[in-house]
Amino acid sequence: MGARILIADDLSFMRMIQKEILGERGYVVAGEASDGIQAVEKYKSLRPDLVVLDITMPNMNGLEAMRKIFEFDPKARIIMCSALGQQNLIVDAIKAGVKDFIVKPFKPERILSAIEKALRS
Amino acid sequence: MTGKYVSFVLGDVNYCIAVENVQQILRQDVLDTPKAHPSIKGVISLRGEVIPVVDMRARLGLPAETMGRKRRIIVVEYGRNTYGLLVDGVRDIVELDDAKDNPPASEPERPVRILELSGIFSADKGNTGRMDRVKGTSRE
Amino acid sequence: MALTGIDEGKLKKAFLEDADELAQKLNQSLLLLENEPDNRDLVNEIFRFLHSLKSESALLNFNVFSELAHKMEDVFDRVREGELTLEKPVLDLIFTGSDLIADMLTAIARVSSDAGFDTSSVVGGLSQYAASMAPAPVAGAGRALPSEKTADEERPWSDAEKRQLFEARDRREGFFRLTIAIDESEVMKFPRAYLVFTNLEASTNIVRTIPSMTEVADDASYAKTVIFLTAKEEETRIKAMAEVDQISSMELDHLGYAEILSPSRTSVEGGKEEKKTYAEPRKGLQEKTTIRVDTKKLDDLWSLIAELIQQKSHISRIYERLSRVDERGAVREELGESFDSLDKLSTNMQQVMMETRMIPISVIFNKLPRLVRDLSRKLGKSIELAVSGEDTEIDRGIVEALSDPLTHIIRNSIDHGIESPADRDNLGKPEKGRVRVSAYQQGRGIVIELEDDGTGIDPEKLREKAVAMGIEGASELDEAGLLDLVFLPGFSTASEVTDISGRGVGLDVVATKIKGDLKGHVTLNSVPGEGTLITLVLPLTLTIINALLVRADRLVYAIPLSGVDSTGKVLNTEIRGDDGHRTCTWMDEEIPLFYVGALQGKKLPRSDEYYAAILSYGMDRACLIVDELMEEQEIVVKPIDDLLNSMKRFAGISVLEDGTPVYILDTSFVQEGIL
Repeated sequence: MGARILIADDLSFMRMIQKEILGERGYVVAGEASDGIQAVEKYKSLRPDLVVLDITMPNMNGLEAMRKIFEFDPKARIIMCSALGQQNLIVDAIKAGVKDFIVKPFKPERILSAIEKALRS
Repeated sequence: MTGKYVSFVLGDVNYCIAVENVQQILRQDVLDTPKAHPSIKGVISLRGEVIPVVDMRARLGLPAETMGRKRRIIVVEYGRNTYGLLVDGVRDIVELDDAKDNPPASEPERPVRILELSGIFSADKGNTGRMDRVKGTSRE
Repeated sequence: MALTGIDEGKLKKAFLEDADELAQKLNQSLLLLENEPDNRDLVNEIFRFLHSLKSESALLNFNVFSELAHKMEDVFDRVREGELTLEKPVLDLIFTGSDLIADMLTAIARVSSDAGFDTSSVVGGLSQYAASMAPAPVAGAGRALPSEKTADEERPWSDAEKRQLFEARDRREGFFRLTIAIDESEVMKFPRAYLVFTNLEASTNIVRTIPSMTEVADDASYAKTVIFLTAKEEETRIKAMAEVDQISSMELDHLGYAEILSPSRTSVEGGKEEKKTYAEPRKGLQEKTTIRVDTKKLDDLWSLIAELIQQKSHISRIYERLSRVDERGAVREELGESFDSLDKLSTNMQQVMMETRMIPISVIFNKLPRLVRDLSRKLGKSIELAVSGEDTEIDRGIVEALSDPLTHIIRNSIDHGIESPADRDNLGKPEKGRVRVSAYQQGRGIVIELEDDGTGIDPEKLREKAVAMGIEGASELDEAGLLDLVFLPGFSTASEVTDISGRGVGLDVVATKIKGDLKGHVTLNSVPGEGTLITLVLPLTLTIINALLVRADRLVYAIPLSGVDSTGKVLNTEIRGDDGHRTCTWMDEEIPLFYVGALQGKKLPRSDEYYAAILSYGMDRACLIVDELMEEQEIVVKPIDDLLNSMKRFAGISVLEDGTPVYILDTSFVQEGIL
């Protein structure tokens, strides 16, 4: 409990929902990013315990951002969010080392359970 | 099957060594060395090579004695290396029958011990039991 | 496999010359061994041949060849340890292997590649003998495959899969089948299964998955996924690794190898038949511009040149004596001219001889980029490698012995030296760590520098460790002294053993190899926080050196000139201490003082002044008192018999032209502080 999480998604209401779900569980949302570039920058400056990254974002997508974050910190914990039909991107993400993935739309228990498991590693 | 052996003396015991191992027999001064293995008497310089000389008396546990006039160095080859064996005196080349316990025909009463090179250079010092095969009547 | 670099032809030629000879000797020795199976000398000889073949082919990336030689070497290693007797089945396999080796050399000579040779049956067959004869721990211990099988599971195991299992069994890994069922609610079942697969792949060896991870079937079929794997881990660990969200159930079964693997005599025969298609007459093997020379002849030539050099020195001395007598003489002049020619001739001959033994250090350096890349990925570090001086030539005999120490040092750098990109960022260092390897010739030696810009080594941490280990005087050591500690056994600076650096073995192994086998020096410099520099200095060739001759009583010693700083006199008043430990002052530094006669058991004689030589080794200096400083001379270094070197103070032995033996000092005692 109390783990610091960075949320990255280009849709502001997605970020709001995630903030609520995570906050209820006692997680601290350390920061928010609306594109890949911000996600990487904020990772470097905030050094959160975990990142939830959406795959499709402008300026730099989740996959690229994930790679950059891994280059910086090989031990980063990253969970990827994807929509249906993005299977290949997910597989690429898995190859690159993502800890888990969730498919939108997801139920609150799903994202919480994924985060819990990822934090345990 | 008989074999030719070079026979020599150490103390009052006669030994011999297979002729195939012997390169030559010298009479040469042994030079000092810095502290080396205790059985090493010194070295000789032969054709540009420095050859360690084993003090056979020491190797067999015999008390040291001043160098007599008859002292010789038997140069042998062991593996890829050359060594000298310092002995009290070299007698002659004898032929011995490998299969039977035979002293040489010329001296039927004389016991002869055949030295194996592997025994001389093996790790356990002073264990003469393994170093030689006895032929002929033993005086021990 | 393909060779890289411009030196391709030269390297291949050198390799083939050696390998052809080794292969022939191997075959002959094997034939002898067949009649004398207990001959230990033959066994050792064969082991050495195989070892050389393995190492040399590996350097040139002839991996099929190298693997085969390696397997055969492993078998002979066990034979010489007494763990295995050479009975007919094994010996037959070895002979087949030897034939394959010969055939591969033919192929390499023609097309520079060993690809296309199927060595799997010999390698597989030998694997059982190369491992312990005791049954592998899991063989027969697991349950048989359940009767409920899918069509995929019915598919017989391929040769490649069997080979994987063979080797896994060798390594004493367990064989498992993991069955997972994915939640109904998961809409992306394949990625889910793939996630489990990826997690497992990181620390286990996957043999087969059903459905396949590479030829993706439709998503629904992954609802139940089966993964066959081998691993050293226990079942609980494997399950933990596979644990991923959205898995509804997981079953792990322990399987036996015996069902799938059985020694296959038939495939050996099959191998023989295939071999026939490659068999070619051995004549005309190499390009027409070379001839094969018995290396014994080369050695003889070497010895002749060595004697020639000695005679040259002798004549030089005669010339000098003559000069004093006959100052304007014509005789002297003629002799002088003749001597000059002789000098040139012998120098040229020496040069040519040396070149036949020299190869560029790129043979080793070419392996580094790959090594660095693999290690960086495995350890999550980001590394930039800079290599220079690959053209520097070194004696062929040194190459093999140098390869391991170099890779070991680099592994250390990457594992313990360079920080992770995140840490480096925090420290304000560029994200990519830099490793620099360079080689250059210096005087009569080669210098190899390995530098990294990592964390460096903290002398104080070494001090702590040294004190904890109970090393005397550790608390008083200065920085240089502390840094030298890393070359002692037990001084791995990692607190945890990682298999990357090899079982926690430290730099002491490197130091032993460099000093012992290669007769060189190794020193370490470091700035904590900024990086570490390791410097290797190796003699160019092992046989001729410039040395300072000195005398103690009746014995003559030689000190390699590279280790001599200067010579001169030392006054009695400048010496402090007593028999146990003496020192004197040199360039404002107090350095240890020794008397070379101590090697003969003599004590320092009383005198108002002494002749001395100041010696250096790495960063250390010492003063060596002698009875007489003779001269500087080129001498031929010959190996010294162990019986004469019980104190391990000599690097070799030589002979002057008058037959006087010369004992060549190993100057490392300067660093050790005892004579």
